[in-house]
Amino acid sequence: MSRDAKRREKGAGRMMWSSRILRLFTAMMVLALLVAACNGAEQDPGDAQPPPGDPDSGAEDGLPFDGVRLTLLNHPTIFNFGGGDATDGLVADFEQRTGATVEVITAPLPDLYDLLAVDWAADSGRYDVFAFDDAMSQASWWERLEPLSDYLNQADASYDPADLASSLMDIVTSDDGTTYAIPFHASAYVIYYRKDILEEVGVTDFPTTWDGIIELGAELEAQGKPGLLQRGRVPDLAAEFMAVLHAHNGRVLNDDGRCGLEEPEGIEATETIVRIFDVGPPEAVSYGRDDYIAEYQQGRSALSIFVSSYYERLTSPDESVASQEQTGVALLPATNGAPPGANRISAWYLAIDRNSANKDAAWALIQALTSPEAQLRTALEWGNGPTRESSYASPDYADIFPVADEVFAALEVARPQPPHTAAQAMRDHMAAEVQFAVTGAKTPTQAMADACTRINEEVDRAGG
Amino acid sequence: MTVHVDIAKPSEVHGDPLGRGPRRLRAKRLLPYVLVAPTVLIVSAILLYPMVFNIILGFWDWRFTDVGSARFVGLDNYRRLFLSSQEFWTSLRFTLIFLVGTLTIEMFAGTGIALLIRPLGRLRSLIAGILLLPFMVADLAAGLVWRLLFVAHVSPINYALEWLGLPAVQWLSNPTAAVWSVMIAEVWRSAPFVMLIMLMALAGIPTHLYDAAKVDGASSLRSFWHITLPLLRPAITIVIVFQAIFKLRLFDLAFILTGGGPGNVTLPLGILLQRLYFRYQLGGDAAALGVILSLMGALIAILTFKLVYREVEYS
Repeated sequence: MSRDAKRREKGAGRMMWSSRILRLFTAMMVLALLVAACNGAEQDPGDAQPPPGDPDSGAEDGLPFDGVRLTLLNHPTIFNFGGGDATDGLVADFEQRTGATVEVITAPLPDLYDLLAVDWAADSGRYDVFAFDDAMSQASWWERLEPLSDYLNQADASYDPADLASSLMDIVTSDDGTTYAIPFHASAYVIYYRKDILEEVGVTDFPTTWDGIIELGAELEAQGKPGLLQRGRVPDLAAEFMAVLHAHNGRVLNDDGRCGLEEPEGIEATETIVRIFDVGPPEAVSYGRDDYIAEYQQGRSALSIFVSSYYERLTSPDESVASQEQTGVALLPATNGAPPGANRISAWYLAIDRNSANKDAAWALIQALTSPEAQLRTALEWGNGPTRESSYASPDYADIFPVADEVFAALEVARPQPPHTAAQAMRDHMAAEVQFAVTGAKTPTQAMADACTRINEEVDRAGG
Repeated sequence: MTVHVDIAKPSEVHGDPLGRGPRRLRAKRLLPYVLVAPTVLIVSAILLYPMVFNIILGFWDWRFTDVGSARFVGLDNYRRLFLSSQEFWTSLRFTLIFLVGTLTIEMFAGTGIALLIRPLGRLRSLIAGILLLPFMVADLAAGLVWRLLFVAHVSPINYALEWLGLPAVQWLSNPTAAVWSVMIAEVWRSAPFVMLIMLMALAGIPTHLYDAAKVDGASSLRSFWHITLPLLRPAITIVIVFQAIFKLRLFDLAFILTGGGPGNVTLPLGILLQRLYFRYQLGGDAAALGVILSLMGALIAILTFKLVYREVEYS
């Protein structure tokens, strides 16, 4: 055989083998990819944690949930009300006592609900326990939540479910009496004011009427002092507007389930809000929550409607120029026959996802965060708005929050925003129309008429 | 016995020593498809499936909190958007004003800057790089920065206006000014992209065309109108199509600056879509709006190619 022929034969052989190797390699890669793609999060039922107390639970040293991994989805502010990531926080304490590991995922609104939306669409039960606010509490959610009535009935006497504020429990209890969540945080809307600045203009007693408050704001503005300021951004504006609406004895939805904003109380509440913005800085229409908190902390506002749980934050020596001694707290003036302190509830709840693989441990976590001891501790150490009557009655809490009794009374008469499938849409429509009224683009009457048109459309679409 | 295998002509192999002639040929033909199959599968799963699912969802009343109650409603979601949703029309109006307004300003600004810096030689790259910085900034960061610039009591812009004897502007709370504030922030961020594309397109125009025009006595303006502009048509087409798509998806800037307010005057379709799905749980309506947005983008692309694009040949 010639040298060339030998070379050709060798080359052909090499090509044959390299082609074979390439084919084999490609086939293995495809197989590996397919296996990786198919090997999802399916858990072998044999891997599920045995219930606590089960001899096979593998619990060591009597830790009931040793080896259990829970995922808690929470709002960052609400999580911090429980001590956050601190080693002596409620979650860390729960981990030490039970042996469970809690993975905490925090997300502000609306991201928190985005995460829930994705999880629910996939039905994966990723979040064993999640937090949600009263605005999202609605019957359409019940199917996603694990009923807690049995857990409550079987709870230890020390947990005392009856101590939880009834107005808060009503929001998460269905018509047939099933409870689906436990309140962790609650606030009523109050007016914070700078006592020192008011004294500078000769005011020692805080006004008890809306006219008085607005006139005070105008006086402060006229004298070049920090005045009355509210956040006006959509949809934030809806929060304070509903508080003012309820203080005027108005309602978003009347007893017939139709929009009640067009009624005289609704118009009057809108006019009050418009007047509040008239005496405040024009740019407040664009302010969100962080903006108007910063304005108070930096001494650029002397009067603001906030939730009661912001007391510690607004008077924090690390963040605010306003001290607790300089800050007064007043309830919203009630008009048109509304009960004293009438306003809007702002509450956050903890619930168990129906697809959670660790429901017992999840309930134990919720108990740990909402027990009488835990609630008082969150109020005293981390400025949380507690949800138990015993917390508000505690002398220790009254020491740091002088209006605790009044706030609890206000909580008991406060109304939530309507629990309705279209609650968010109503809130946005309301905020947009009120903003039109505030900027002068529409009269209060026109704005509320348009708000009702849109809200009633949402009600009709949702089937009433 | 030696077998001579001519690898250039595999079909002429005789006496196949391995006994696999036809199968080897089939395997060789299938090999490219096998190699691209994983990519095609993944791309199909990531792109095609959601697109098709979204189109189908637009014909259903679907809420993620109650998937079991989903029902087919045909064109109801589209009907509701077009016939009874005030928010949709307000949002569409703002989105179109925003798109046309910012695109016009960016085309002039970007092209103008590109023409100005083109003759700068070595300095051109440095200046272009610096001018491109705003485009690198994330929407969220840009929104936060511009919010600080616009918020009245700390606004350096208002400070400058007042120093010039002009009244301060309520950039974020006045309805007209709020629209302008979102547009200004967007132009600041996107004009550098236009400048970059135009700069590259200008670099591709042969200089002998300008030399010839000069010899014929053409002025700079005539050269620009008869040489530069026609030859920039492909680049202009690219800019319009891409920028239109980006602007139809406007979300972060408007969300940070105004939240869609005051009222709904600066509510872009992107924020409305987010509200429909995540806040109002109306998956079907959101999907329908997504389809409308896609069709708008496609329409703009088609019209731009038809009206603006021309093949360019240098002879």
